[in-house]
Amino acid sequence: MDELETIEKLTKRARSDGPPPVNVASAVLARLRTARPTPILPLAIVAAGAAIAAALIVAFAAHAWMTGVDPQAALFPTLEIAQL
Amino acid sequence: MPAAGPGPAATRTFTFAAHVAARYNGHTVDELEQQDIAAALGGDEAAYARLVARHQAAVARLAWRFTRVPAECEELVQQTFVEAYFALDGYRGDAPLEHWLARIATRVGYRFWKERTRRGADMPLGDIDPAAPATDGPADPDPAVAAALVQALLANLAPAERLILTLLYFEECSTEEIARRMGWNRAVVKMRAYRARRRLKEIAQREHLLERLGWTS
Repeated sequence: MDELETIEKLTKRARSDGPPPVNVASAVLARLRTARPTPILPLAIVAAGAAIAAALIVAFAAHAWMTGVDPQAALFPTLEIAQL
Repeated sequence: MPAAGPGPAATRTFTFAAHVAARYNGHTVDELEQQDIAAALGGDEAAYARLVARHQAAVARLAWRFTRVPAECEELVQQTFVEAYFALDGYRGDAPLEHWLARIATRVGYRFWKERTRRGADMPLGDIDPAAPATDGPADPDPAVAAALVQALLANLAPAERLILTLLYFEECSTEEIARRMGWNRAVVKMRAYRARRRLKEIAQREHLLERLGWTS
């Protein structure tokens, strides 16, 4: 008999080996009470607040981009004047 | 909400056949199961407690293949039912609940092994004396000792290989069933099983398994 056959023979014996009795119903319920998924509403409120803040920042940035003066663009007229 | 204590049905272990055939108060187990699942989905904790009580022995039996420490085994059973609760709305009822729970329990056990491997915890084979508890002779070690020996040998394998051989040897699963249970490719399972067996043989030789058992002729 080789090692694998021995292990298979041992396994056949081992199949009748079982755990001590367990009774986990109350422990599971206790864990479920503390492990309930976070309600979606508070998360949604935070997400909405973050989205509004982001939108305001984007709007402000867009406005600044449109109305601001590009320093590089402002440099060219100066150079042109210097060449004259 | 108070948890319902396990009733007379709670301590029974349901095989698939018994699952279909057994009857309680004129209802089949499947009907009771469906009622309890629906009630549990509606937030009825007592109904979920009944489901736990009905299936905990079968889940514990599987969890016992992942650890031989009773406290850890109980922890795995608890974790299985906690995860099952949150996944219950995904249970389609096309297979017995016991099979669905076995799938979750297997994944919970596999994660436990992977975590344990990272921590470097292992089961030393040298600590197990094959002749320690009452044996029927050198050829027939006690089932608990036989299980401890095989599990200690398997503990030397990588978690995936260990899982495949555990399910093949102890649960008598086919490679197809293992692949389905773990969401793995069947060809990969077959290849890993082949490699795992070869490696297990090397480990058994290194650990002088036959000499330990007194099975050398």
